[in-house]
Amino acid sequence: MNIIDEGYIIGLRKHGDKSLILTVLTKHNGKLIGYVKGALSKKTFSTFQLGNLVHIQAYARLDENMLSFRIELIAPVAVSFMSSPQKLDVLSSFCTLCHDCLPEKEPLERFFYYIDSFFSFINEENWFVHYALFEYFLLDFLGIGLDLSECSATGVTENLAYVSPKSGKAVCFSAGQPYKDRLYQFPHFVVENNYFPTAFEVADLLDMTAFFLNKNFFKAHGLKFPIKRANLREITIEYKEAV
Amino acid sequence: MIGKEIDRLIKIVAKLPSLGPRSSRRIVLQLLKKKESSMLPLIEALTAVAQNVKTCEICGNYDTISPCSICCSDKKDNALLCVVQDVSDLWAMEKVSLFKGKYHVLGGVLSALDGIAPEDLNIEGLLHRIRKQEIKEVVLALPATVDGQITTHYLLSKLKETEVKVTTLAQGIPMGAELDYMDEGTLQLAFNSRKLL
Repeated sequence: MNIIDEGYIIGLRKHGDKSLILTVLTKHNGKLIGYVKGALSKKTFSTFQLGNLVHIQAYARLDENMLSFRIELIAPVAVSFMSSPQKLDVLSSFCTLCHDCLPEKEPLERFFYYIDSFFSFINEENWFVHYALFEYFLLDFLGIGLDLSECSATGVTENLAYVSPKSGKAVCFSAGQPYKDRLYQFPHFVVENNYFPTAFEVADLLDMTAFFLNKNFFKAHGLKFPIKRANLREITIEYKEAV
Repeated sequence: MIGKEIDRLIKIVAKLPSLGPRSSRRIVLQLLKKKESSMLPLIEALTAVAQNVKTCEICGNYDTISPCSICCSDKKDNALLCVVQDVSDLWAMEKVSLFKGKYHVLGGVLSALDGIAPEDLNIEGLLHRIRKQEIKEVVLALPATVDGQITTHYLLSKLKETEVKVTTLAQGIPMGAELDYMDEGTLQLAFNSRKLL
């Protein structure tokens, strides 16, 4: 089995003195886990940082064997995260979610675009919007996506204002008004492809994705919701206020 | 045919860092050949260390006394505290004798992937020290990795509650390095933290 691809490092585990078990999120082959011999030598250890974009050559004699990696750095993306505590927290949340939720060796196809966007726009002012979109489309990729096309109560496609935590479907303003305290805000910026929403709109979407990820994925699989993911609402608002 | 006891010793030595079964066999063979000059002093030293060395109740360093000799030293500046990830970092800093203050060993760094939370580290001990002792500056000497920086920022947010000055080690080009041999990550980091001359 031979794989040549490129992707982002999302997990590192030390093995012995100088080697690593590496998890890489690749474009065409999805999440790959493999062994890198001598990764922690003085010359190469800076390559192996969470978030770095790498070229990967993977080999295993049999499909069920662990892959052996040869890694080359394409872009030191990790550096962009280092100086900002908010970015580091979001990167940590991103890596944990990808590590826990994504299946191994399954192509990510279109979903990789949102992963790529998160890393590519990390130096832009609206980087956290790309993170929120990643989570939204992660739900979709996992088969637990939200249906924002029409109101689940009346079937109308206009005036959509809420999302039901029960069904994950949109609810229009008139039907949702009596229950508005129990419903999530409709993420207009996602439907309208607006990449400059307010911090509160992004925080609302993050609240909603956290709820559905926890309910439909983590609880359903008997897993614990990542602690690093839990406080992203505050981080988003805090960052926007700081900027 | 190797005896049961020797085989057991080879297996134990092979578990040590940087050693495999082959080097472990060589070490054991050497010890057997030089019983008087190598093996018996080693046994003596190991027994002494096992019986007497403890973890310092203040900083987390290893020493025969607790508080350790660094914490008790009069030559060290009480107002200066350096936070390191592990005892090995403390020893590395002590080797060059550049730092005149005292140390605090965290015992790791925060890691969401490995499930290491603030409660797993010696952070409460650090805050307690800062509150009780007259510390004026805390140097965060944690690794320049994502987990290391997450820990640095976490500690910074915790230390904001105190009035202590917080600094961190510089990041960039190492001594004697040539730019064209530098990796992109280090170069970018060096550019990001460039200073005015």
